[in-house]
Amino acid sequence: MGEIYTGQSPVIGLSYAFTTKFFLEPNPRPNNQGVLPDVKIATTERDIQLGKDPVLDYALRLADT
Amino acid sequence: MIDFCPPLESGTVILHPLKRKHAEALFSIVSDGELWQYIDGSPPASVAELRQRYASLETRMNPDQSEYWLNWAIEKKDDSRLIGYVQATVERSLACAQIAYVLGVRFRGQFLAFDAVSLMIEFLRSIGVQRFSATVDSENLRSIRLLKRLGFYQSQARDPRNLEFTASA
Repeated sequence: MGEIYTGQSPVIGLSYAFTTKFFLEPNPRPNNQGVLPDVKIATTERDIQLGKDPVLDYALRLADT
Repeated sequence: MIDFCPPLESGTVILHPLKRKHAEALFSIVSDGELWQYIDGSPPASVAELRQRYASLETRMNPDQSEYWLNWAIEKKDDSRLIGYVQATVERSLACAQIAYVLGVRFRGQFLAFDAVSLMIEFLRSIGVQRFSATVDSENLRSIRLLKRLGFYQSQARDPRNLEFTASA
């Protein structure tokens, strides 16, 4: 991770790359989790049969408040 | 390994594991507005939408794999027509199954819903499910009668509009 510069030696043609920065988060999260939601809304089997979208419904309610 | 959603058969109905291919035959049944009188949801707008709903259920499990999602299409044996579906949301521990059922309006009054739900419950008992529950609109007297015939009794309702019924294995 970093800001990478690349180049090529004009004399022997050798390609090279090097980093100039290393970025760190103040509170690194575990890998493979991404950004975790503040509120977890589960879709049930019944929701699917009945064509309901509880995630969208929650978002709309939140937008209304 | 147990097949949690096998085909099941009684004298009057066959239960087929619900698949996207059943959408076309079931569309006219589940898009009937009268059926949705007591159900909080929306009828599918098209066969394609219903096919998408059924495809989502073919996994037979919820995303975190804590529940079995079991659905069967009901076939009426005497004319091989699909007339509705039965559903069970079963905790992975098999401690409890939440059941639901939808039967086409014109097929009511022939004990077909009773036969289909009985068949599903009998199967779920055979694999070890301990308790059954169902939620029904307090004005849906037909469904309440069915649950009582199946041996369910009314439990404490948190919401007076939606009654809760339970039965033990």
